[in-house]
Amino acid sequence: MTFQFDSINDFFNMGGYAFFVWASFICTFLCMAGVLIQSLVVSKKIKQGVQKERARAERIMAARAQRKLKQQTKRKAQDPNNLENSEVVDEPKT
Amino acid sequence: MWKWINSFAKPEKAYWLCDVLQNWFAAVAITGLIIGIVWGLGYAPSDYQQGDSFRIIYIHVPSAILAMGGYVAMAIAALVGIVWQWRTAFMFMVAIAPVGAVMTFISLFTGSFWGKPMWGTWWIWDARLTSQLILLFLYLGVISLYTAFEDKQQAGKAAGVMAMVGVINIPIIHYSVEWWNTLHQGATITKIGKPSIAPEMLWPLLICIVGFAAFIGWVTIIRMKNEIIMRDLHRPWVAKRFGGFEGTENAQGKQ
Repeated sequence: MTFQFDSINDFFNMGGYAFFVWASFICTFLCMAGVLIQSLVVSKKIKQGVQKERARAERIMAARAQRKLKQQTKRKAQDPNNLENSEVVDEPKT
Repeated sequence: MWKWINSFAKPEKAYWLCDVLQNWFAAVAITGLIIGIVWGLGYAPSDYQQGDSFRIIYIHVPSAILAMGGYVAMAIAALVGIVWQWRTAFMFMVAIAPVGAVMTFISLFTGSFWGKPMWGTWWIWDARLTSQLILLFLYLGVISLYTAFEDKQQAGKAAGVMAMVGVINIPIIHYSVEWWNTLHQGATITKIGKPSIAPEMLWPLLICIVGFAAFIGWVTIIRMKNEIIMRDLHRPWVAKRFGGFEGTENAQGKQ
């Protein structure tokens, strides 16, 4: 197996068909690289999205838990049957 | 006997298989493409009629063959998805479609750049070229039909029917050079019997075909994984694997 061209210039000249041969190969390379890179970028974005979603869900959970706690203490304070509130029953609430 | 294959209908198992195969496909694709293209461009003897312009064959033929092969694979996936109701089959269908469309475009583009110096025209409406153009439109049709539906199971069915109907185009492309008078030359390597190409030219071509096939497999696997995660985003296994949110019960249980 031998290199078919006399020089590197000869190789780039492609026997006079340089434009057609190199345009074909470059276009092919760009198309293949394009579809590969696009797929990898989407893959990265999805994985980042999963983690973002988790952070968001955790924030919502925390906020919900806090709100629930607040409501429980408020309800306890307003409950007339609750013995803890019996002394302050006639006073206006703050 | 074939029951084990059913386990791959589960997205989780399919994802695992994709992970195992991905790097192998990548390795074969990169080595195959580098060896085949360097050999084809520099070391294969030039054609006695076409000179060095024939070297376009090393990307034109693999992309054209695999555009058709990819379409058949996509149609088989569509059939499996419709008959056995595999969600993952539709995911494969939509994963391979853009890759096949790119291959079809490459075959048309390189064919055009080969046709200009050899036939004297960029494009001619003959049977082989036109049927290959229809293949590109079929791919684009499958992709756009799939994206048109909100419900992806419905989308898979609709696009799957289109993919299966389009298979009729594959034998038309293959036999177009025999059935009609065409500018395009006849089959070179997929002929019954001995291929009508010198072995010094054939070997790099076969290596290129393997490289292109592995490349399609590689990109399809990446896209398939994307599709699986996107569709199963709120399933526990995805959360467990990528550190996502695992649902209310689990989160409360941990605290």
